[in-house]
Amino acid sequence: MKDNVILKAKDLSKTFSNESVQQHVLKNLNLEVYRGDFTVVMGNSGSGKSTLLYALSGMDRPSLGTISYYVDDKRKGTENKEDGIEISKFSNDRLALFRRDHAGFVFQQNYLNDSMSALDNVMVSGLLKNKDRRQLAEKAKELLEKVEISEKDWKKFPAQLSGGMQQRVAVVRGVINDPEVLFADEPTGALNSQNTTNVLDILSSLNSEGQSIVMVTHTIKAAERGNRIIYLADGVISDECDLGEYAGDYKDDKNPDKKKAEERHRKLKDFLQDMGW
Amino acid sequence: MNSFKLALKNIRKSWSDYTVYFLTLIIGVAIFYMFNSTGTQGIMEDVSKSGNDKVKMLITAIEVVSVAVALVLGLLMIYANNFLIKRRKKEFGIYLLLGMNKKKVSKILVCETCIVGAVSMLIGLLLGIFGSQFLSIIVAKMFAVDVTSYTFAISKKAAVVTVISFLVIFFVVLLFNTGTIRRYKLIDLINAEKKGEKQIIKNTKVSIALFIISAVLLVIAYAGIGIFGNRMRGREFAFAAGVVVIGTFVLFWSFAGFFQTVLSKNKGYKKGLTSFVVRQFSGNMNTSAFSFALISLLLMAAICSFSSGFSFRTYLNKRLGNATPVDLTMRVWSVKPTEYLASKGIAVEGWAKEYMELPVYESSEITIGDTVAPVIEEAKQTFMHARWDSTENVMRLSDYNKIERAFGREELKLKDDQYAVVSDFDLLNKFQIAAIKQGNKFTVGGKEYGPAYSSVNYEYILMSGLTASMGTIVLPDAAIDEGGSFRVDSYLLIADYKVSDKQGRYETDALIMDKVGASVEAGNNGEDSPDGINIQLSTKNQVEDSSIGISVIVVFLVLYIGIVFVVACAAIIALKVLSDSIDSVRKFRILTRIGAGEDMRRKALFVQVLMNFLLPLIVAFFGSIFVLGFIKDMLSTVGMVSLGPGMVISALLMLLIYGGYFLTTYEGCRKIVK
Repeated sequence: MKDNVILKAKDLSKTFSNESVQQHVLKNLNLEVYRGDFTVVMGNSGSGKSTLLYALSGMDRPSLGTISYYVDDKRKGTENKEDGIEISKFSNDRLALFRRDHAGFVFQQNYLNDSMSALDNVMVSGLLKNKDRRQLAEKAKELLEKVEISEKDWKKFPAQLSGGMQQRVAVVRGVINDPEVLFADEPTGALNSQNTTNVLDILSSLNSEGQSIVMVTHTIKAAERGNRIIYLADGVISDECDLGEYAGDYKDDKNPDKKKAEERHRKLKDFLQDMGW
Repeated sequence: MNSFKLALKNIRKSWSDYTVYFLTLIIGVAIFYMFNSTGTQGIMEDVSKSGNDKVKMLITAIEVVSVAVALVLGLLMIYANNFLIKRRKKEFGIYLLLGMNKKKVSKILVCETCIVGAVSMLIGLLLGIFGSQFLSIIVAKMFAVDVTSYTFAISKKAAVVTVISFLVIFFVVLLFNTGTIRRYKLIDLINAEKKGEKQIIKNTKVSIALFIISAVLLVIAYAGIGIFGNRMRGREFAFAAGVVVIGTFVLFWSFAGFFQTVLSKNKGYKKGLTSFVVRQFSGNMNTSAFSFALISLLLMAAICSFSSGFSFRTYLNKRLGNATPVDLTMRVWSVKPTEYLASKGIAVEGWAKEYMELPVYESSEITIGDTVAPVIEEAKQTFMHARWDSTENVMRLSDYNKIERAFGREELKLKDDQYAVVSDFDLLNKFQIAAIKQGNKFTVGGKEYGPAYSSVNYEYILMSGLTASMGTIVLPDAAIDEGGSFRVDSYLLIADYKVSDKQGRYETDALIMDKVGASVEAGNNGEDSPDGINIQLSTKNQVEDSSIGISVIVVFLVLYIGIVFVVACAAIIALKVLSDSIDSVRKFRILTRIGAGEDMRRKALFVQVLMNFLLPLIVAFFGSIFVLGFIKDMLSTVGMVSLGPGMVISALLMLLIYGGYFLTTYEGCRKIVK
């Protein structure tokens, strides 16, 4: 096992029962996610991408198999990352706490609370963790500024912000608690081209600062931002593609090494073509 | 952020969702307090002065009804809460996602319920306290009770009962809410995609057929109840009622398909936003046929309850106007009243300014059956338990005319061979009149007597709030004086007191009742009198108070039940409509994009909201016409005929409550869709 494994799924299966029909969405899937990686999960519709993300992030429990996190968890009474924390057997409440402490989320819909201002939406996550209010506010403001949401918009309610701004607020909320992993499920699915670039830039920038990200997407534009592409077909990982060598050089980058960016794009495209995408 | 602050924020932000909920809670609390406090209101104390037990009866009745009302309000709140929670699935999903556990989410809900509950309880109680004063004054005016001595009163007991009842309701609501939250799954909440309405009956031909069948069934069942209800036996009636209930459900169930099919063939369908409104409305109807049917039935109950209750009140008040011409009427069997009272130490001369004592006769030659002889078989079907062979009251014409004079009525005139029937018992009147019309004759002492009048003389000989007399036959003096078979059955005493004010009359009443009350009571209850003497006695104050008492009970209960029903119905519709309009924000946005102007959209929304409110009301109104026909028949046995005034008052009340909800809802929807 690599030293920097942050999350490990072993023999993961997820079955949905719908009346008499049983649907096996994930089948004995094995996966290790590494600290600092921008892992992208791709695959056709119904391949189990989102289900995998839900299971990995502790939003849902697998039917079979284990999911272990290699992080410090005071609740477990151990500081030893080597032991791993198996979350697949956690109760719902325990899972909620685990998500609060270790996971961040961004979805296609922003899922902001309509009754709270942008700033409150960001802060509510931290306040759930009982962080110091003043420190938290400072951090929230700093992050909001970083994603180009200026002070005049902090007190606005989601409905008063544009779609792109809403999604940027959602990203900030996702990382306010310094999660071990930021899970993103089609984070640009509902955005126009410019906003898509903006949000992806933010994710790339977060990743370059060390934030581990697991993102599900079905667009090449988004997938290009990852350094490791996992292709899911019919509930199992059919193959993966390593783009690590091209770190930082993607087509939308402001100053890319054009040649490397081209190569990166081609490699991903070829990989996906091989996968029958 | 603590749960309380979060809850407060949520309430402030989702105000449009909460308005109807708040409104309903406040009205609920206020009504609950108002009616439970009636026992302590000044007017009731006035009524209870004569030792009238009607007040106790009213309080008991209100307590019993309050349990049912609390149940209705409780169910309503559970429904409303369920709606509010459903609206916020996404929000709870976010909380869970961000790492809030379900306990904490429940805690937020508890906080919200507590804030909403506390505020609405406070406002409701305040409104209730003022409302109850208002209610008292209205009731006092209604029944012409002096309000000058009236004081502002707060009923601690009612307040405590209200608070406890609503605390219990809140607690149950909380249990339900927590249960709902516990059942939610994070994934489902996050993926809670908007699902379109399911059209339950897909085949339009089937829905048209079902609609027509259910409409016909309803008309038949209602007509059956309205026209023949009076003669139906329990089982037949239950069957008809069952058909009404099932028919109503099927009607609403099949309505969407029918409505859409029929209207889409209409030219106007493609005009403006008609097709949009129709689709929206039938979609809504489709998913909530059950609620609509239930609402319609509840509304019908409210309309019937209002109408018949108010009419009953009007009837009683009208009767009261000419029901108390003297201060006391009394009938004593086997001994003269004057002697009887003297033997009790309350000689008539001591308290009466004027009085008269008159004999009532009986003869085996005139039975109750004889007065309806030509139609006795039909009469027997109506009065199955009557004893037709018991003797009828008979009075001499000169004696009876003394009563006429004392009561300020016109004297009767009879020829030597004529009789007159005096009765105010409507249901029996029907048969007595039929007998008279057929020239019914009596033979007394070998002489035949025919009717002097073409109808019954609608009069009484003893004062009473309600009709009770089976009738009296008045014969020429000679018929009784010379005919051998008559003997004195009892004596009437008709007296006016020396005092003329109400308070003075209460004192005289008390003086008399102190001595003979036990015997009167025994007679009223059909028991043996303690002193062996049978008495019927009513005083002016008793009749007035009893009538007021009954009226107050009827009006209060009718108002109470009716208002709660209407509020419940209106609130459910309002919540549904609001919920649907939040779902259709997107649709309205699309309408804007494709060029539907503000006016057009507003009109479409108005029609949509109006239809939701109107349809159940129309069905309810239609049903209540027939059911009221039945109620009218039933009530005519106690002498009441007209339902008109009651229907007007109830229509106004309905308009006020229902209309209020409609406007609030429309305003709310307009804000949402804007």
